[in-house]
Amino acid sequence: VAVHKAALEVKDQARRVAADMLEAAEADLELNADSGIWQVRGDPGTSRSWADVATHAGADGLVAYVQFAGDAPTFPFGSHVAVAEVDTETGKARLIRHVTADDAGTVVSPVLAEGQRHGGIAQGVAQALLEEMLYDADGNPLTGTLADYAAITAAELPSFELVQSETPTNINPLGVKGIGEAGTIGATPATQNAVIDAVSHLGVRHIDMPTTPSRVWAAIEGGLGGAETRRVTR
Amino acid sequence: VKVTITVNGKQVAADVADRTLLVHFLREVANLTATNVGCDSTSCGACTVLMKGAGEEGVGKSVKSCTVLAAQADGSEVTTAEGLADGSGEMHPVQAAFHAEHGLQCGFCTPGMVMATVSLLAENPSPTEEEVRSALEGNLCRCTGYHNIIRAVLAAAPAVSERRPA
Repeated sequence: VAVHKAALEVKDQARRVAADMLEAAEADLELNADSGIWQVRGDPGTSRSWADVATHAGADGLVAYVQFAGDAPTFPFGSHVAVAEVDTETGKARLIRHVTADDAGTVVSPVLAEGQRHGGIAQGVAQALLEEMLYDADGNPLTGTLADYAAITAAELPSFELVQSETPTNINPLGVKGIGEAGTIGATPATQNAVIDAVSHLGVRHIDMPTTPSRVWAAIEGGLGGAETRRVTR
Repeated sequence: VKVTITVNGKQVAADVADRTLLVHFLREVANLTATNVGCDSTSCGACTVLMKGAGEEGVGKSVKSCTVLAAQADGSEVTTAEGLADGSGEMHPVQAAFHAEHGLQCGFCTPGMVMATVSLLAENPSPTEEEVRSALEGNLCRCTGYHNIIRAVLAAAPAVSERRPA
């Protein structure tokens, strides 16, 4: 938002300089955003590039200092739907579909925003299915390397289905909200609940995170809850 | 121990400590730093390169260069990410696909992912999504959720097949 405001200020400065150079009224000038050329409206013969304008602006150049602090926090929101299947013989749970809407207001860069959502979903799913820091009775970490810690791999994930939703905020001029790793928030409970739902017909009402095969298997065997399955898995 | 390895078509010879790993040879002796050291324990795949014995056909096998001694690679040909493009200024089709599909975020896993992909497509020119996911299981990425990486590999497959001499 600060960059946006600064850019607008610099553009106004440039308009004044370009008007001076072309001996035209500021209101008659327009910027071709694709070519970066300032022109008098309706007169393609007149043109000044950003470089011309910046040179003409002299030693002070085209400069804006902007600080932006929002008056209130923005609230991105979203919704995740997970479909999981469980091998009841082994307790292995697998995510087979993941559908999300993550609303970050105006999306400035769709490619980067999607990337943040993809990455966030994977992290969130991994928390529900696999990842856990384990310690022995003396407090030594048992999952301290990538050989022990179950970081999620490509083989354990499906491609994600992203639904677009853009509800701009009025708290800042761009209408933007946060998207950084947004998927982490919804993906974990969606996946966890999908796994439990997949075995709920067997009497399972709760499984502790993460839903490792041993925990899921123990829950199915006893129709047991979290405390009991935890004891069985250690 | 005296080691001679052909790296990206160029012979690199050096007298290195016995325990020198191939990845350190590539980074510190050959001065090619695209190959990253991630976990140092064969888990993450960031150091994946292609290696083949002298006279062997094809692109070589993908190996995790943190788990190969430089001495084991003596006499072989190694390809790193720096050696993929043919020098014409064009990227290798796998690199181009990772770029076009935005198959990366921080980029640390990318050289390894790209090399593993080149190896996969040499073995299986038109893999299914499931086969791609399975083949890249040994390459960890913490940013992308693999989504765009998988897309990039699937997009690269036809271009790689086309490029291969008939």
